[in-house]
Amino acid sequence: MKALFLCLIFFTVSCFKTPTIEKSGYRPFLSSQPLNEQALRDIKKNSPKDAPFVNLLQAFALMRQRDLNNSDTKKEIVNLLNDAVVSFEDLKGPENFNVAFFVDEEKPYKGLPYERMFASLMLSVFLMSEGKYSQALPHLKNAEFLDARFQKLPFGTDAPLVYMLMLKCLNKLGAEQSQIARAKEGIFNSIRFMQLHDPLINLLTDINKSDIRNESVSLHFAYLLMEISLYNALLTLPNETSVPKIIDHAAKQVDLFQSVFKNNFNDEYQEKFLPLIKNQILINQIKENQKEIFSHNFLFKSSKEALLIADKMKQAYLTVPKHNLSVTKAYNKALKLSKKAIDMAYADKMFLHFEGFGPKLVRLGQYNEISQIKPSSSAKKGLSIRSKNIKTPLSCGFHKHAKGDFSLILCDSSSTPKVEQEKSIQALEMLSLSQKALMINGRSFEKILKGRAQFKAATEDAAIISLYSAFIFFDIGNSIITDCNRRGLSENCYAPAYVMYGLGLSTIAISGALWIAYGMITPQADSRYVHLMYESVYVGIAE
Amino acid sequence: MKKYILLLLTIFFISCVTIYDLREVYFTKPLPNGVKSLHRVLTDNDKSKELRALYYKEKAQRMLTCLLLRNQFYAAFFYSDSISIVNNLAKKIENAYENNDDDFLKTCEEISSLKEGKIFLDAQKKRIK
Repeated sequence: MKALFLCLIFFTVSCFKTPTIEKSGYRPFLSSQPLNEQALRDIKKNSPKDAPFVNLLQAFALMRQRDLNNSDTKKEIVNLLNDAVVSFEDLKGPENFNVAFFVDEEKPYKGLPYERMFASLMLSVFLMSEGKYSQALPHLKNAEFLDARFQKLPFGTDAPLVYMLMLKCLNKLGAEQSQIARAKEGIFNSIRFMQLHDPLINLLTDINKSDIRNESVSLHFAYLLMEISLYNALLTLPNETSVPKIIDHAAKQVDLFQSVFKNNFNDEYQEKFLPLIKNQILINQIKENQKEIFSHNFLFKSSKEALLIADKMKQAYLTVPKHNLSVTKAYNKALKLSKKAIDMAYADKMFLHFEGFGPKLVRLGQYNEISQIKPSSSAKKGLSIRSKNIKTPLSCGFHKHAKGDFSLILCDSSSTPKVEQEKSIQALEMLSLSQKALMINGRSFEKILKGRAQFKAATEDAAIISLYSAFIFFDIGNSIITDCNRRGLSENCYAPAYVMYGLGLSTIAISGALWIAYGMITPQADSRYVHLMYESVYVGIAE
Repeated sequence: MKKYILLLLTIFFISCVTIYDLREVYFTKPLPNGVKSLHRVLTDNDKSKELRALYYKEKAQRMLTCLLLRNQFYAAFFYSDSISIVNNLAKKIENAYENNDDDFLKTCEEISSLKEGKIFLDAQKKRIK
């Protein structure tokens, strides 16, 4: 009976862990509906750790369903976003991953990195819609900081929208020229990154393939470091820098990124580089005490190799038509788009359009221990900036579109008359949330959770084996008793059978203990993500 | 004396047979990390003809031969237990490969002129045909 009772508890503990979004209080969010006030209060009261999560869901549900020109709705959205953003102040990230006996969903919700950035951005958008540019500006700077901090490569945001809105705020506030210049540079650098990323990396890949020594360890390092350094160069160099100078700069800065490589690309290092280094150690018969120095040499040599790679890149860019054309075209497009983006930021009527549903978070693995971000079905492929014609009323303020999408015409209210007509506006996609989400490194979490999943698998197997052993002991005991009865022997004959029963019971106890451990180890990754965020933000001028 | 000569011949015979086996390893056995298959090397070469001609000029074809020779010795190293000459040549060409293009080409020419190098190159020529 005790064993049965214990088994019931273990079953309950291990099986019934409902993802937060599927709990009954959250159901309206699944159909993009906001909660009523009471329901919202109840969730926050009963589960304070989920308050930022439910605030974000509520804010975006309101955006999708309510009239955004209603001042009460706008105020509610601003308050919800503000509460969520303020809770992100503690940016340490989830604590105590090494404690195996807590479900990740039990931890206070901190938001995924791209969610934090987008929440800050949307807060600033709603503040700007009310003309509160001075309040909006710090949230835009926060959005830039949050994006840069959690990128795999922390050099600044590649989201032009952040800088465009920043420029608008700075212009309205009559800020210093240096700040305005910085925002303009941010626009150009982020657009240059998006446009030149693919052609330069394709060039680098082609050179890698053509390199006879491309299985050399130090050259391998050099190519990877060169890639990282190119990203840095694209995001940070002044806007007049030519392509050959970008390549040169990237090669010279390669040494700086050796530490970035070790911190952010440990998986690649383990998977790709370590086997090659081990082979080199074998071939060169390196002694144990010299292995570390020997391994480090490859990284040190990579800076020399990077200079050679840079020469090859410049040569190919200048002389091979395919590469010259693609890079030059991308560079010119970056210049053109940046000018357009700056014009949009300065326009009397800046048009912003929010559409689609953002990326999804799925859980994989035997115990749902791996979180993986899947791009939205409407997400763009690659980094280039999409263009779209969007039909919208031209009057200032918010306008609802189908499927919960909405537009905002940000007006310079002092001079802009009310216009009651619709027009098709050519807009550029200045933010893609799926692209943001996929550029960010969250993979350290996966590694930790996988360790717990392995422990869970081992515990589960051991518990099952123990249970089978118990059955065998009981079976043997029964056979002994049956035999004793058949031979007509006294109860003394039963003694060995009782020993077997005793062993069986103690084995059940062991199995039970293992099932407790199994039930308490919950390696499931956190399933919480704000599914109501918008995938794309398009920007244009409403003339 | 006769026994001594016979023993030497046996050892010589065994080592010759083993080197001839090892020269085929790259083309026939599963490959270790750090080396691409012949098919992949030739495919990459086809796709990179323009860039290889740009960077290596008249040496492009020779570099390809040297790359395959390096791959052969690299793979052979992991299958040879006791053939020290193969291990030594693998180490030599590998270090040159890690170093730079000029050193790699120079070392390749040196090894190509040795008996073992010629044995490996023969196998290469037959496979590429």
